[in-house]
Amino acid sequence: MAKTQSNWISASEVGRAKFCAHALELKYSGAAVSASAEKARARGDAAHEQFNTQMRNAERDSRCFIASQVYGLNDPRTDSLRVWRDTVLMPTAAGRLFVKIYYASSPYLVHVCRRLSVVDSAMRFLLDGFRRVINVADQKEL
Amino acid sequence: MLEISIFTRELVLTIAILGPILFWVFLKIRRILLDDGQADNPLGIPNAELFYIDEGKQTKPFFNRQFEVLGKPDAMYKTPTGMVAVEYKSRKGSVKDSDISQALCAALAARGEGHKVYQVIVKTQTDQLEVDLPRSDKELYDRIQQDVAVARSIKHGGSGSANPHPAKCGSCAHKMDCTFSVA
Repeated sequence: MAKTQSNWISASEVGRAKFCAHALELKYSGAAVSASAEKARARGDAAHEQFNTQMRNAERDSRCFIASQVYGLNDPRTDSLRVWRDTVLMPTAAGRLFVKIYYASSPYLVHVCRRLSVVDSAMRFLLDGFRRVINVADQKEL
Repeated sequence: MLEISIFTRELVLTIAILGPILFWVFLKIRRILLDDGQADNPLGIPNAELFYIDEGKQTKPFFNRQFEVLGKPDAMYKTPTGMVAVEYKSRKGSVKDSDISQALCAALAARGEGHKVYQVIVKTQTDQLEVDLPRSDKELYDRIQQDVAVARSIKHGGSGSANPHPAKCGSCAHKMDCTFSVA
């Protein structure tokens, strides 16, 4: 039986302990994974990727963010713009109206960005500049 | 008299051309203002923005140092009231208790890094279950404490009791080595 001193437990191990504790014990003891299980895992990974794509597309088609298109969904630069939206725009009625108009219009812009790399580069340039302006404004406030 | 008739004709023409355009703009603005925040995601979460996706090995897990658990929800949506964590299972059939335990543990891990997860959604291809989480991390941990304790005990060399069932054993990766298997 493999032993380890670490107390850290992962969510999948917790799920497996609930599913069948003996299966978890076999995993720790180094029991071989069956070929059918390997195939099932590969199918599961593919299904996960498909679901991820579905979520991303739903987001882009409707409440699409240009920053997500330009920088990426989990990028810190996208996060910084989200923070700016939540802290500066959302508290005011005018800001919320702007965000709504932005949500309504951004899918068209992203569609163009995806088709024309020149527009994508231009949007990146504009967003970089905009982020610099926001950062300078934030530093002045501090 | 002639001037008035020309003016009237121009006015009518202007209204005829600009009227429909202005009406269309009005309808667009009205639709934007009356946007009721309907769900724009495959999970039906209203007013939600996709915040995080588990991209596989390159995505690092979240760590909760207080409870020493780690995990990655499959996705997280940001809503006006906090985060909703998503656990996706690619199989068909109902959501199992083990799926919920895994999802709660991943949510606790995400909370450990400051994400205010207030709900988890567990989704299979044919079923979906929403679980509201307690505000306190301790209460959330209490819900999975038993499973965490079992997992920890096995990790430290203890044994785990078998829970044989044809459906479970059939999908188990270790059924070939398991003496309890009923698959």
